Amino acid sequence: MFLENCSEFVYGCADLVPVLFRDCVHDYIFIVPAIELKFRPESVVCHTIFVKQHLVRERHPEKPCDRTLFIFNIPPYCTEESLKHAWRDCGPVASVFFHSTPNAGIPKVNESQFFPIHAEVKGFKVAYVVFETEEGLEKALKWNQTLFLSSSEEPILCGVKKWMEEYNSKIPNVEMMQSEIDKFMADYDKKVAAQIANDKEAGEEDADGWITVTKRGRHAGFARTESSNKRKLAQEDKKRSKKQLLNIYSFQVREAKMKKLMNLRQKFEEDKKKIQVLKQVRKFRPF
Amino acid sequence: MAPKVKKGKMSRKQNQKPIANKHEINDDGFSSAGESDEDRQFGVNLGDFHESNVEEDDYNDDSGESDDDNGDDIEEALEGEDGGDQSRKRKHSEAENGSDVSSSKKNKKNKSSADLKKPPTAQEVARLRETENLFHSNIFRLQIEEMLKETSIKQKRLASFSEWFTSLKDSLTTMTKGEKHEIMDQKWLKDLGVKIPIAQTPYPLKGVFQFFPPKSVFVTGSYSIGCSLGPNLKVDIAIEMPPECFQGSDNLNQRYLRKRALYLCQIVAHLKTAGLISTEEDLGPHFELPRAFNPLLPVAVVVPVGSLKKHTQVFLHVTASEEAFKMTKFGPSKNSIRSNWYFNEEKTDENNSATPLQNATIVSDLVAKRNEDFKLKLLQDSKNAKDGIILLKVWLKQRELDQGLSAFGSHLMTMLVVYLLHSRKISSHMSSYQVARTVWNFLKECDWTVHGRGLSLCDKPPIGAPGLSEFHDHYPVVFVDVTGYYNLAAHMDVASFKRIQNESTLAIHYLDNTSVNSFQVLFMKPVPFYQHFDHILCFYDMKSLQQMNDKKSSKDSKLDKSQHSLRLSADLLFEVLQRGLGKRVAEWGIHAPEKLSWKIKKSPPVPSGPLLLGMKLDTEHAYSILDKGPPADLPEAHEFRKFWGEKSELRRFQDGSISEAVVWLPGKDVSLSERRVVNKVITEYLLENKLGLNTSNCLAYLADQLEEVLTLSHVKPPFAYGSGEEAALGVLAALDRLSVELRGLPDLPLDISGVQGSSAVCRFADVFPPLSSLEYVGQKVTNPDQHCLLLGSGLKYSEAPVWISPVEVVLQLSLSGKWPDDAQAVRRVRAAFNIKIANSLRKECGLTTQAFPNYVDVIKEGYVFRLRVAYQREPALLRQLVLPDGMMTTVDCKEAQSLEKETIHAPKLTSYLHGLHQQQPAFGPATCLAKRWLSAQMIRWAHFPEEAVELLMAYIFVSPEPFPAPAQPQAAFMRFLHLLSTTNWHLEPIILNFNNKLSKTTVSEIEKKFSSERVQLPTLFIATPSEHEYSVWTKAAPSLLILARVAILAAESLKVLQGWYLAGMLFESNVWKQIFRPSLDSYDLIIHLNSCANPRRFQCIDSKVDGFVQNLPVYQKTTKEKIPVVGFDPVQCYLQELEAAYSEYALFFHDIYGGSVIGVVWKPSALEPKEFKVAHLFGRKLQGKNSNQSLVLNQEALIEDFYILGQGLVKFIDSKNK
Repeated sequence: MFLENCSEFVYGCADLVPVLFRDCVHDYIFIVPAIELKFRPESVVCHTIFVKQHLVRERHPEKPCDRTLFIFNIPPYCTEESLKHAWRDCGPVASVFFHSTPNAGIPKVNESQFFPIHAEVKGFKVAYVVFETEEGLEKALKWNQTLFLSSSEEPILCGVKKWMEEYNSKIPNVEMMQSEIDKFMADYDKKVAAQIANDKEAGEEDADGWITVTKRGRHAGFARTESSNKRKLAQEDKKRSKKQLLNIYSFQVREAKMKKLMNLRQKFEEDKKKIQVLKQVRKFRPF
Repeated sequence: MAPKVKKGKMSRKQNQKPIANKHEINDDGFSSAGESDEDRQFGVNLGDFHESNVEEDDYNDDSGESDDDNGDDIEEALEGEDGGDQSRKRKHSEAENGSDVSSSKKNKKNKSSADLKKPPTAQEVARLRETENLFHSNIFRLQIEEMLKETSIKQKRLASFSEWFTSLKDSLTTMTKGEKHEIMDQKWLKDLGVKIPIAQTPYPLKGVFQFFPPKSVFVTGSYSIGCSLGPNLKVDIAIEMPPECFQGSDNLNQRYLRKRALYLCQIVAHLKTAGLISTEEDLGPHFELPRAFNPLLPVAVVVPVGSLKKHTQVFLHVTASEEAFKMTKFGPSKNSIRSNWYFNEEKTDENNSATPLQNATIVSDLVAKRNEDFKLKLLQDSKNAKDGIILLKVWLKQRELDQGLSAFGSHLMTMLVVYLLHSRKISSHMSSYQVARTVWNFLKECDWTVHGRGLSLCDKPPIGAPGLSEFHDHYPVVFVDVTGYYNLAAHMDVASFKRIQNESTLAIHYLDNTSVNSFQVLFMKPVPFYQHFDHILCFYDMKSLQQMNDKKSSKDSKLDKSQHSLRLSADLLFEVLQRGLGKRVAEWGIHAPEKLSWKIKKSPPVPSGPLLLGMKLDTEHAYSILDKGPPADLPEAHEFRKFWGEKSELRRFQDGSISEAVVWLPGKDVSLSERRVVNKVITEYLLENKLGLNTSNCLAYLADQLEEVLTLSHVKPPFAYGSGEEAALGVLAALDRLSVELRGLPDLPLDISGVQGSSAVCRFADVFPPLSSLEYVGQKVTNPDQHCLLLGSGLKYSEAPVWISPVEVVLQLSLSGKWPDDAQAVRRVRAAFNIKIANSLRKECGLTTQAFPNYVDVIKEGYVFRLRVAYQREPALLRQLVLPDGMMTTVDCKEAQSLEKETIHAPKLTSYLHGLHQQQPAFGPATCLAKRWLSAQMIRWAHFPEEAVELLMAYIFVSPEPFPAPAQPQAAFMRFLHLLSTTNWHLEPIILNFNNKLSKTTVSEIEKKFSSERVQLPTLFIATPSEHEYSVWTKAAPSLLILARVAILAAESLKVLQGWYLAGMLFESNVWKQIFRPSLDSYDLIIHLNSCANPRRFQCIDSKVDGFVQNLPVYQKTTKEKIPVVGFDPVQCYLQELEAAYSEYALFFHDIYGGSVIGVVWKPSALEPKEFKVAHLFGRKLQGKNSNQSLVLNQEALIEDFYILGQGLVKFIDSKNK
């Protein structure tokens, strides 16, 4: 999964900390540069990030292979802006994408500010840094200095300040929200109307005399859902079982009795098993 | 269900009249079922087999295997060439030759089902029928058999004991005659190295003691009839003093008792040197008072030498032969202690009062042999009755009823069974289960305390023997033995007997109630004293009780009981308290946990206490703040006034009557928590005024101490706060009024049809309910917006505004078909509704509101309500997925689950628990206690959902078995701890049957599902009537790890509380508080928080109140009102971020109620070095050189991250590893 479908490219630089990377699936050995990442210059300890060129078969125009750097192990508080800032020495960064696991596509963006569908990526993540030029990527792959995420010109908002901002931003502007809703619902209504018209049209006889059965129209079929299918099947089963008479032949009567006895015995056996289980956990010693 | 009815009828019949023989029962069973001859030949009467707890007929019908087999058979029969004929032949042949045609014809591969199909053998039929007739149910029988096996004594041990006993007997009977000594001359005892085991007051006593070898030595008690309870063996041995030991008037002035004690000294001294008993320090002979703590009847306890040493104790009782005295001298109304001797008075008082307890003490020794013989004769060959006795003994022992001051000991229980055998209420054909059931039924119905209803084993009382009424005059509880002179229940008091009766009633109730697992409840679960009662009076200072005895008891009772001081105190206390508290207490209990035993070289100790009295409250009367007496003009009024003294006053009541009354608390502004302990006020008044006790230094009234953790320390609301129920009621009242306004809102596209609260406060389970004032919210740290207050980022941010929690409310709209069919569109429509509702409430009702995409916040009467519109179909829409071929299918997703929880399950849960609180008003505060405790142990709701806590507490109230439902939160809390610490969650599902809404079939289905699908279900499985398939509330948490930790914490906390209750330690200080202070030892890291940034800082357990308590004004709406900062807790935000990012590497613990630290534990699996793999890269760093590089957790960086993420909140982080 790592190294995007395991293309056979080996990247490494002699003066970097060389890392042996063993891909468990394909048994390739890669050398991946590891870079130290500090929160700010004063920090004592650092995270280790692993970088590599983005190379996959499935291409996406937003992530051109020759300009995209793939980074593993990005700490949770890291933002796009701060990452752009951190790599500024290698060259201008066009865009940054975060994913929780390696992904060839680009993250989905929420269209509405009030009704988000996609949650933002939390925790440790992977990042794709797209440089504006190919030199940027080349420089980055040879990078061997410590990176700093937060600085005075580009601070990361954290802690109480961040939560306060979040709280305040949650209180919506009602007028804007209303207008957004109105717009969405108008579009939705149009879509539904179009669907209905489409269905109706399909419900009419076509040139060859065929009718497509839809939910609407003159010949409405039942809804095509799993549950309705099941219901239908159950109904048929029931009908079939009604047709059988169970007490006509004497063997049927006898077998019914046998079944009862069997149930009784089975219950007895089950009880015994239960007791056995209870016995194992010493359930019968009162004190 | 027909068979069940039949069964019920039959068992009732058996209880009423003894059944002559078993045959009759069988016939009965057959004829009533009325099946054809064929079936008899077949050997099975199927209806007959139906046992009472087998679920409905269709129980197994859906179980695939049996169904399929049946189907196969039918097909075979239809298409097979020998079809009908063969089957008819088969019918006849089956009963005769055991070979099973059908099974031989069946496919052989499924052998187990073939086994099920073979015709029943006679033995099997007999057993199944026996189970049906004689036992409760099959599983019940199996369980009883297993338990009897567990409690029986090993055969090997019995054999070696009887060998040892023979040598003991030889050794004792061949003792030599002693010299004559004056009783007062006890110098010879010194040479023996034994001190006399009774208190000799007054010391001077005439008489001569001479030792003669015992007349007989025999095994008595449960061992002799083979009913000993294992696993350790305890044997009673009686040593009969021969008549030669006694002189003419030895019945008087305790001369018998003193001789008996001296005799016992001789025996013990002899055994010490005889080499039969262990003489090691801890196993050596000592004295005990097993017989109802009666200090006049000491018993020597010895341990045999040899292999028996480890598991055997022998109790040596000295008795006297019957012919030594005239029995008539010990009638209940006779006197056996002269008061001039006892009180050392000059004048001889002619009217010596009766001394029933003394007489019973002496006569109990004299009749021992006769009773023993009688018992042996009757129980000789009824194995089942003996098994029944064992069952009953286990039952008594689990309830701690078989020991102590008013014990219903095993001897008494055995004699009761003997009585029932003798009077043919129990027959030897009954099963052990039926014996126990009959005894319970008998105890339930027969009140031995009522005149004339006492029992007597003596058919023909000898001439001169006292009559039953004479016994009743002198003893509260009467059960006369076979000689007609001894009351076997002489030591019991009325309260203890009532407790036995109540327990018996409960036992029968459990047996009849199929939803209770009666075996577990009756025999397996212990019922400790301190968990059973709601209020417990702990008298820890025995000296004051002694003083009370001296001052307050009459001379007569002193003469009789003053040597048995515990008994005398108990009687005095009971007399006054029962009179004074009357109906307020449903059940009393008495308990002296200390076991008195002392070395033979020591003198007998004085009981050091504590003495405990337990009260089970009668919830109907116990909370009233006033006791209404009789009308002023009745003669009883005088008596009432006399009892209560100045406390009693004349009052005019609403119905116009003028009566005497006692008022305990001022009428206004009394909180519910105060009402729950009115009894405490009364008790203290009674003890101080009636018995002269200074309650502050001898009594601990254990009832509501723990509720202190629910009180408020930093603010004072304008009403009595108590433990918070009033505050919750305030919220609910405001919600009611809001709901009226909401329903009446005009111009909404759809009307609001239902308004349901879903916050914890609506089910009385919020530890700190919101208060109705917004005045005290920090204005310094906020900026006003249009309708809301915003957090002021420009201001000093380190101080968080005080915590206000929103009250969640779910709104149901009237039905409409116009909702869109798309989840995203539904979301917008809801938001549009929110805006409409907010505007409408603002315009029509003048409330401050703010609409949000998912909810509306409203201020009503000072509370912030968060209204959510619910649309029933939305979760289903969220789950919908259209497959490429146009087929619609459902896929579960988190959003749908949480929405379902919020809008469907939470309101239902709330209504159930709210209803429960109405029935059982202790539920709410008990839940708050439990939540507070769990949180104080730094368990977060993310680990153990609060709803799960509430449901577990509800379980304590809905299924309190084997206790009655608790009426005091503290008692319920202790049972909660017990539940947490002892339950095996893997084997036991929690089934909450609110109002019996789950039918029996459903319950058994749940159980079946639980056992078959155990692995897929959550570790803690809770089923409720509204949701019994997935256990929604415990699906995500708690994990096994957390459950195990909670179990340990609960066990430790319970130990502390138990010690506090029973051991009488340090009553004045708050010992109990330590269970709310977590230990920080087990955490790897401790993150210390800035307390200013914690909005709930005032709630913490040891919050320092620096003298400043803010008075909250009554809420008033102002024009400038804004919605305050609600639900903003930086600590929770921090924890959420930590959890989201680092849950793979560590666990985070925190006390939500004002905890100032976060505990972090690294997961052991995360700390191990990992191979260099993609899955392990996150959060780790490289270690080692080129070839053997591995990944290890980058702990330092993570700790740095914790600082970074918690900027402004984290003070510092303590690391243990450094």
